[in-house]
Amino acid sequence: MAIIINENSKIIIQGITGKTGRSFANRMQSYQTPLVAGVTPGKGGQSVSGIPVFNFVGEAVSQFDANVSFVSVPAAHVEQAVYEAIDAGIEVIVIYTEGLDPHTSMKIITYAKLHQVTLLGPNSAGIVSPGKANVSDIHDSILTPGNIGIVSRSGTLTYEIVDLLKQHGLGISTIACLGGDPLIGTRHHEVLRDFEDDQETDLVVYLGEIGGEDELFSAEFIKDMQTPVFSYIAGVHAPPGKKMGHAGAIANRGDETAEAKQRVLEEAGAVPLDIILDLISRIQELEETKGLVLG
Amino acid sequence: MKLFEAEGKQLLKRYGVMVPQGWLKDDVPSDVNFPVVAKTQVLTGGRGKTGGIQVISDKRAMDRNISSLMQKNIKGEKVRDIYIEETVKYKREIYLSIMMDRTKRSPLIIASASGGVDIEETPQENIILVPVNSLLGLETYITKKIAIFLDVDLNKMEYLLNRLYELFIDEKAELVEINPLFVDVEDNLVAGDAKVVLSENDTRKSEHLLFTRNTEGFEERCKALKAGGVEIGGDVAIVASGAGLGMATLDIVSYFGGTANSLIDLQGHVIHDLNGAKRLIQEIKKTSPKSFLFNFYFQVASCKVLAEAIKSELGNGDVPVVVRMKGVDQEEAGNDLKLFPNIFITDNLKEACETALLYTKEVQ
Repeated sequence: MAIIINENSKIIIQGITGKTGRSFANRMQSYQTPLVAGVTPGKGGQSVSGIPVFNFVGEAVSQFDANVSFVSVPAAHVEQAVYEAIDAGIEVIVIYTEGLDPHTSMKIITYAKLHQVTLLGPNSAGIVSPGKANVSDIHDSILTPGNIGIVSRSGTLTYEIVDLLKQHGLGISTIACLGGDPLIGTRHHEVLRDFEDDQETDLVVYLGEIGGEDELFSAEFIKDMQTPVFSYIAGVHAPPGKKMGHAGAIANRGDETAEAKQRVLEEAGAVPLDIILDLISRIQELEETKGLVLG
Repeated sequence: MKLFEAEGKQLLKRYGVMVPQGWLKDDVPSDVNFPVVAKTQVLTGGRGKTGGIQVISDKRAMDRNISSLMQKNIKGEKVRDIYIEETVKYKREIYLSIMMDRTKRSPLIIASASGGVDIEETPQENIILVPVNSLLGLETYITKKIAIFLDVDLNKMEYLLNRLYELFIDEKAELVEINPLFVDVEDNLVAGDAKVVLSENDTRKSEHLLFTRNTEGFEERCKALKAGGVEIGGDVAIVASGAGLGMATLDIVSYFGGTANSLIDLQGHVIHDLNGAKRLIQEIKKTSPKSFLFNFYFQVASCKVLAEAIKSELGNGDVPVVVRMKGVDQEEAGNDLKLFPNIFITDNLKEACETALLYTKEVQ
């Protein structure tokens, strides 16, 4: 099944003629992601990796029933690109671009919510259901299909987790990277809900970070989840009040620290990890005690 | 970016918010009306509690107090200037702010009838929180709700909130806080203080600055090279290909009993730019780490650029280096670095962290 995107998704890249867009188009083509078109205003009629380029999102929607967009246009153009995609009827949008100011993010998120569009990001590494569709920067060569779901803020931390799982023969149902910015569209608990309903996801790895309150909302949801959740909050040893690389990774208040978040998640029933290296041994423990079979 | 009070007040004034007459210390006119309030210009909060604000009754006292205030150190911060303000005859002090709310993903207006104190210490029942839909903007029902809650003149509050909201939106602010907001004897609303935080990603902000900002720190120098750097003060310099991986690496090093000297997030630029990568390593070297731990895992970029920078800046050097890299051209880049006695290569994260720690103990 997979969540949010799957093999029937009809994907477009907004900004396909840029450097990032071209590289993603090329990879999606090589690994059978259902990419149907690209959009760059003024470049309509060209093609990239054999994929047609349109001037407007609406053309890709009417000709190919496009419903997912990967946005890789420069920060200054993201706002217009997203409004255009929403108005054209796109249902899932990944904003890969980073460096948006929070005011722009706020308006985009509000508009997407109004139209019930699933918006990942800004500053999202994307979403992938291995073997079905990859709208993320995680390389297909390290992905294997399986039944572990990952929800994360960060891209780079996710690669590491994917790698750890792969080394131990464990595969993935879907990975959703929600972005490292303070203001993001789809929130953690919304993805947890999708995983809980997904028949193919038997375990969730939840990668949070210091800063913000999303993990606290997630804890409320985890209380009622049947699917086991392993949680790690990056930045346990981050100095207080410092912005740790991600614009959103700053603990201004006591309940925004990694320790406080881990405590709340553990109380809600999640299995906390002090360090990511513990993931495999904790999964093996769970497999033994609950007789869960993961692959 | 946080503004100094004098900068914030200037901005409020430009948007039509009433502020007391005020000048920086060298611009005070001779016919200033005493008493005045002398306020140290620092970015740290709570300066009043540490003697950073003084009421002055005459010219002679003003000159004396200005020089003593300039010598002050407010919670470790040097005083940049003194802002001299005429006093306001007020009936009440209230609190008003507009902030960017991460959770609601909208502007949030916070108001309280008890001003002049830290909002965190105000009881919940004395505070009103009103989110604003960013697509609708500030509607009249909201300003009414706040004016009635605060028991202030409706028209004056409506005018003030509209000016403040305009500033918040046009300047892409993350926070505009007025605490205290004076209700003067004529029921005017006058800003007693101004705390304004502008968005980091907005490039227009420099026009509002009266004071230069620190560009000398490690963090600022990393930023100039389009990388993220945080100085921590321990032993290992951790350089990672992203913020999430960097924090996770810091957590492992700390969990094993080590300390980090600094955490550097390479971000998207220096990984393609050999010169930038070299300069970044030079900056980290200046902080004298006992060992380097490079942890990069690329999905798109080649490992070769960074390997080349490590080779030229750290190869055969005095500082031990651990390089854990994965991704495009991993083997080739690794072979290149293997030749150096002070560089240890591994693709195992645990081993990388343990080795970087071990190295800090060998160096004396």
